[in-house]
Amino acid sequence: MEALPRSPGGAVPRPARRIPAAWRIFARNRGAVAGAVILLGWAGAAICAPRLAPYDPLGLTGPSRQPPSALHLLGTDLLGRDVLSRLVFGARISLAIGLVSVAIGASAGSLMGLVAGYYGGRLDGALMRLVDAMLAFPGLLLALVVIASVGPGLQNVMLAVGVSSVPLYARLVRGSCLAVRAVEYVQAARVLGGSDRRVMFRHILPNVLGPLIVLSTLQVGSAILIGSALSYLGMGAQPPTPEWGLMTSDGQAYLASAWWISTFPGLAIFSAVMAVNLLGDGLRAALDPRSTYR
Amino acid sequence: MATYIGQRVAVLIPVVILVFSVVFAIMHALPGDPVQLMLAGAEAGVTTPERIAQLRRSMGLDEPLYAQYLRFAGHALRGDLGQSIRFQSPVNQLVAGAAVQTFELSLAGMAAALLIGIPLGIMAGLYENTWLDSGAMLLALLGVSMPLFWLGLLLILLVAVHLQWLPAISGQQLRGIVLPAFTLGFVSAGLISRLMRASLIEALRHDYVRTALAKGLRRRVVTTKHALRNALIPVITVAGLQFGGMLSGAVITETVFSRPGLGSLIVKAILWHDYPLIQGAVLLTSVSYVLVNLVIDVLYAWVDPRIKYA
Amino acid sequence: MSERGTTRRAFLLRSSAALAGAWGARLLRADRVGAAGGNLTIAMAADAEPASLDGQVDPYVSAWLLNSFVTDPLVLLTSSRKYVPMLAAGWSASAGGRIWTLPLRRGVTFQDGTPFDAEAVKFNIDRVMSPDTHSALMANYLGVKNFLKTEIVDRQTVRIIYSSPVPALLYGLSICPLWSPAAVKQFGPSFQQHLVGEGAFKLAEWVRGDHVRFVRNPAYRGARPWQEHDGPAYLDSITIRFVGEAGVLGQILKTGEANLVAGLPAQAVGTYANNPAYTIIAGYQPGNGMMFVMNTGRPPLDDLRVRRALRYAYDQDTMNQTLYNGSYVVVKGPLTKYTLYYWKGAESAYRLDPARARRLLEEAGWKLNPRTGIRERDGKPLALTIVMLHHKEIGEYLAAQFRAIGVDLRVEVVPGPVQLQRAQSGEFDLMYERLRSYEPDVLFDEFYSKNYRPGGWAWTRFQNATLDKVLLETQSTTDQTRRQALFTEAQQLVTEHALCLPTLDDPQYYAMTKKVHGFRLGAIGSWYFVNDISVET
Repeated sequence: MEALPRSPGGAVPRPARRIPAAWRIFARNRGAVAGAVILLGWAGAAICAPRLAPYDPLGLTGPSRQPPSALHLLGTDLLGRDVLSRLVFGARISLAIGLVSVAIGASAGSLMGLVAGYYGGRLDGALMRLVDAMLAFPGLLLALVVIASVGPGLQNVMLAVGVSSVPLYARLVRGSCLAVRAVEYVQAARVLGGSDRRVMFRHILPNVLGPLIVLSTLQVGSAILIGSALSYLGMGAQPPTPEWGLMTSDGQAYLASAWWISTFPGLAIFSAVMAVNLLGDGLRAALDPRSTYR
Repeated sequence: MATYIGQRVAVLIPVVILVFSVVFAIMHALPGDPVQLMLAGAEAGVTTPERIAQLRRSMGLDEPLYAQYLRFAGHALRGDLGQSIRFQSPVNQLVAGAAVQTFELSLAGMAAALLIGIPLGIMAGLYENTWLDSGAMLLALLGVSMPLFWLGLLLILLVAVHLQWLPAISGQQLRGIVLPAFTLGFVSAGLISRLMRASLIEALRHDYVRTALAKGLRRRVVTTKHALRNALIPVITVAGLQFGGMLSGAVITETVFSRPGLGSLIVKAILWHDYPLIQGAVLLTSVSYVLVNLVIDVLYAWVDPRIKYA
Repeated sequence: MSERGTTRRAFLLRSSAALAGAWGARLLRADRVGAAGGNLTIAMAADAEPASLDGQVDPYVSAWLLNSFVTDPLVLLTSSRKYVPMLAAGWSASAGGRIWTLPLRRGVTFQDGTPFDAEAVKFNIDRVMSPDTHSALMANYLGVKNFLKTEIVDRQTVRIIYSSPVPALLYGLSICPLWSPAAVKQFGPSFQQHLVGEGAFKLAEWVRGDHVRFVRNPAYRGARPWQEHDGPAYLDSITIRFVGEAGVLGQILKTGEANLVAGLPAQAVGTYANNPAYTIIAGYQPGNGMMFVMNTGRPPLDDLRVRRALRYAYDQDTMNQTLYNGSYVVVKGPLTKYTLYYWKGAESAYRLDPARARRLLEEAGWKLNPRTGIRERDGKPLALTIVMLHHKEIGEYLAAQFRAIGVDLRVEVVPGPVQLQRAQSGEFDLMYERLRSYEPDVLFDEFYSKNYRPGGWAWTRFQNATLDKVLLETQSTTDQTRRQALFTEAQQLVTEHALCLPTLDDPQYYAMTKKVHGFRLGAIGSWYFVNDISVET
């Protein structure tokens, strides 16, 4: 749930490692491969949900609070909905929260960082003060404040979580951008009359791609966790959406009498987030060799 | 040093003003009329249009926006954050009471994080690429991948209900803070142990460590005397940042363990659309977070001479 | 006034009978419990924590309950649902129920030593009625609309004068807390943190979001025969702990951190019911039950056919079985069966009949879109919003049932003030509304069309001359037979026009350890008779 610690400066451009080398490093990392496999599994479940799910995830398809059985492999929830079907459809929702919010955060944040780093000067100063202001809302707080103004609901959760990660990306990209700006070939491209946009996207952005991918991957995990925390607080997905966090927290009251209702969705969150973290670590080792930790 | 601090503080002022304005803007973009909300919970049966108008006046809501902004800013500068709609008490009082609780919890949480994270990281770092390392790192991964509310409840069921070692609702007693502190600290412990491991490994590769080893000093002495000290510096920085995050990240822990605190106060304020309370509590949290970061930066600069003050 | 006003003689007869009963109980009690004393810790859901501890202001039952530790009411509604005098020595209504005269008990003092007398009662009544107090509901119960003034007849007699009859006044008097005027004046706006009454316990401290603590009032004289013993309470202290997580609240007796859980979550009832180490008591509440009123002021629920279709689309008994193992109370009309003048006919008015529901929707022009499974009219889907405060599984259950007839029900869970604001602005189709009262007069508050106004409780926006006439008449009728006829008709009309969606009612479950003795419930499921409770140490 905690955001990643900010990268101090994000500084110095690194020569991007060549793809085959990166791939070799990645493939040797057993954890990363395991993470990738688990994630692919969940992604497959999300895509094929209507085929995989034995029942309608919203329908009352059996007696309530039935323990796992041949009929309901993971049991039924407090209303009699099939936990497995909800879990499979929930993969769509929880992964979407992760991916969409990262897409929002990464694109808005990167753009901010690029513009600030490339143009520098007052614009840079103003944008970075804004980033500082956003960073002054720690952890969940920024997401909570955004939810307060737009109201709960799935789309708003994605927006809120996305917005709350904007400053991380802005800082990362700006730092790299500042360093690359001075590098010769970028200078050359500018002198040769390349448009600002072209220079930014063709010459600068590729240089920050490695760390950007790593940060984005890890953020998917924390977005899923923040999304579930918002559900727990009643400010996230609204019932009867089969969001994993909502399923876990709704079932918690039954942990003593019907453990399966919240245990399986809890494990789903855990497995997905752990997979993302493993993958992220592997990618970092492969793409971002200088950063040895985090 | 003094100039450095001065500069850092100077940079903070616009940030705080910006935070303040953002909070003000968001609160005024919120749907719902505070007066209506206030009456909805309180004056059924006797509300007249005159009464609504009178309340709007008394809350200053009939003024233009810029005037409200200046008035609120003026009051805030004098330390007056207004009156909570829901609780009918001064925001100052509510926020101060909650802040103490949250500070306690964060402190205990940080202690738990360090007590778990540092030894775990050292162990993993010293025995790099052994099963001890893998085990420790798996545990660290567990910490950063679990939904906190789930972890908290599982802990309660196991430690408080089943084993009956510690209380489930924390209350005011010292014993009660152990479980919530552990829950809150577990996530940070994951990060800290990973960081500790990495920076210890890096430190052990440094020349001076190798030299010391080559000179025949016992490995244990070298690690404790030289490598650990250097390896701890980045850990302390990140721990500081984590501490700041805990001040608000405690929301979930506070809810699960039924503790009053800033996080749960903010959530309540948001749920009840209590605008003055949200404004005040968010403002205070952000400012204290920024201040904590400042203190850490200054400490860091002081500890690590490689960092320039300019 | 025969039934409730009680002639003095009838009252004496009844009270002596009750006295004998109380004696018996006392004897039993003597050998049941050795030493009195102990500290009672009650765990309660954190949502139940009142915003203000002053029940003259706060509209929630939890505030009145905590107040009842600190102060006794003028009148008590006993568990056998009879009004009996408590701090009043009796009452009489004259001028057709417009003038109420209340002689007061003598020799009672508040916890700050000031006397409880006619002046104090007048001060309290006037305070509730004053707009400056911002009383949310108590003023309604005390008949603020018709209130003229309070008069001091003599030192120990007070008279309340109304412009028209207030037949349900005794209920209001039975829940209205009475405060020491001196303390109210002394503490001003922060009085709610420093409650001073005359009751068995004094408020010691309130740490918001955490706990409220009460300690014994050694000067309390008791209120026999309605309590089992005279003199100060047995308990040394009562602590209320607010628990934020339902999963924890359900387990808290097992950790030994509380002796009693008030409002045990239904899902935890099973874990205690079969365990001999604990006792479970259910308190059943009068009033509406978990009712959802329909917004007839906007489409699609302005159409009677659609409203009726919804009533045919679900079944409370199955809902109860599915969600709560049948432990809740099924409610099929606007009132629960524990309410005065409950109309039994409501139980057979609507039965689960999806085919009929579909037919009604077809007639109303809502045609099924086979692609979405949701009905549409003029390209607009049949989507309804249900706004609720808690028990969201009921909303989810309804949503699943309504999908079967092609209605898309969207569940929104909001906090109290937002609910009230949405009710005012009309941004809802179905809205949770529950007023709890033994008197059926809540129907007047909720369905009399003129009570649709700022601060009013009639949220359906329904206008019907007959219903209005019937409800208005209930408010000036003191003859109980006539009142029963009128309220029956009102319930019939509300059901016929399908103005509400009744569901279930949650009994208040109290689970306690075997060491808690003397715990008894009052008539509305929440009066704890704290004076008589003791906890073995």
